[in-house]
Formats: sequence, structure tokens, C-alpha cells
Amino acid sequence: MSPNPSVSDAMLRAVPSLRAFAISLCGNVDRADDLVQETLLRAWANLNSFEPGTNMSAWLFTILRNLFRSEYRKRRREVPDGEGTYAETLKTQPEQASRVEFEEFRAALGKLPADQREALVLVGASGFSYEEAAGICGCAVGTIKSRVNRARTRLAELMSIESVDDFGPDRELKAVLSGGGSGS
Amino acid sequence: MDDQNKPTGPKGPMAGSMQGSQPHKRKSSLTRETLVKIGAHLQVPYNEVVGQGVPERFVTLIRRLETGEIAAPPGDSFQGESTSSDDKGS
Repeated sequence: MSPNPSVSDAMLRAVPSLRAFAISLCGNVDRADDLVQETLLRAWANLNSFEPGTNMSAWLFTILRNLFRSEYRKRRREVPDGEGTYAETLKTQPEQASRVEFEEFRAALGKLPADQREALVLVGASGFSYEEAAGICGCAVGTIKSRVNRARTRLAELMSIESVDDFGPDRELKAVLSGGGSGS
Repeated sequence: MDDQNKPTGPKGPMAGSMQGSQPHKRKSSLTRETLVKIGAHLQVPYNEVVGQGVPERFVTLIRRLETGEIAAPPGDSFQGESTSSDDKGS
């Protein structure tokens, strides 16, 4: 099969975001890249199922997500570690002041249920609308909204965020000023 | 019974204090600033990966598929559905 070159280009343009999403699911770059490769192969084999003019990126995300779910069911013992989801991929680490905060966030993200983390990444990082995320996850829009909201609330709880002042250097400074230290 | 005559739960000044009465969904208490911060934390690593571009292995894969040098697996196990709206998220 030799599809329109623009289709190939569209698939390649989606690769960076697919990788980022795959890493958020797998928590492992190598495994994520294998998942992206499998996604592209499946998509290529099923190009006749893709409706021209619709969202190629969302279509690929759907395939990737379903492949991951399918693989995950087969490997129930291999629970994906959200702990390594993002930071391990960073070439440039955050500045010292925010690194501790970032590590806390990463750990908190890893504690979220998979469906909440998935919804949060799709909406909060990938830039999909609630409707698109619902299509990718195969659930109702209200379900996605609920998952995103619960994920955000849970993250704030896990990081003990009560106000925006709890973020960043201010918190470290307050801890020092109050004599409690931050342990960092 | 039409909709207008259906019971709609507790009403009146004491309704809010009655046990189990939750006339409104519980809203998130997170401030907009907190939500923005959470979003920023999500996007830093995501954008870092996106900024890495397309690794050569995927360019090679697509080119080999285009030329028929390698064949994609049978499509009978396809699990995706196309969705409407403009291309986004890449």
C-alpha cells in the first residue's frame, strides 16, 4: 500500500507527542518507543479505516492507548511505574530550587490511578479537548472531566498544596524561616 | 406524572443543612493558580520529549513502509477509531 505522502508526514508529525504520551503510560522510554513503533505499524495496516479530514493525531493516540491497554492486560504483573514517567526523559533537569518540587510532583503523579493519569496527560499536557480525550479513551466526556478533576485534586492533596504559595521556593523559604527545614 | 410534578428533593431554608442533601455537585477547591501550576508541571517533561523531535528510527520505519521494504501486520486486530475535529496534539 502506498498512501498519500501527506499521510506519512502527518504520522511522522504526530510521533513526538505519541512518544511523550507513551512514556507517560509506560514509564520507560525504550518500551514507549516500541509502543509507538507498533502503533505506526498498526495504523499503516489500517489506513483504510482512517477518515481523511479527521484528526490523525487523535486516531494514532487511540491506537496507542488501546495497544498499551492490551499489552498491560497481558502483563498484569508488570505494573507500569509512574514513578519514572517523566523525569527520566529529561535532558535538562529543573533548577535546584524547583527540582525538589518537581520530584514531589513526579512521585505524586505516579500514585494516581492509571485512568486518571491518562486523562490528565491527554488534557493537561497533550492539549486534547475533553471531547477528544473521551474519544481516545472510549468513554463519556463527563467521565474524562471527572477523572481530570479527581486527578488534579489528588495531586494537590499528595503535594499538600493548599494555595499557590505552597509551590516553589517560597515553601522552602518559609520552612527555613520557621525553623522547620525542608529536608532538601 | 409530568416532570413539573416530580419530587425534586428537599427545598427551603433548611434544605442545605439536611443530612445527605447535596443539591449541587462538589466543586474543586483548587485555585486557578494551582491548576496552572499543575499544568505547568505536566507540560515540562512532556514538552521536553516533544522537543526531541522524531527519532531517526521512526523516519526510517515510515520510509520503509512507503517503499514496501517492510510490510505492516494484518489489520484485523485494529483497535482504533478515527475521531472528528482538526489535527491537534502534535
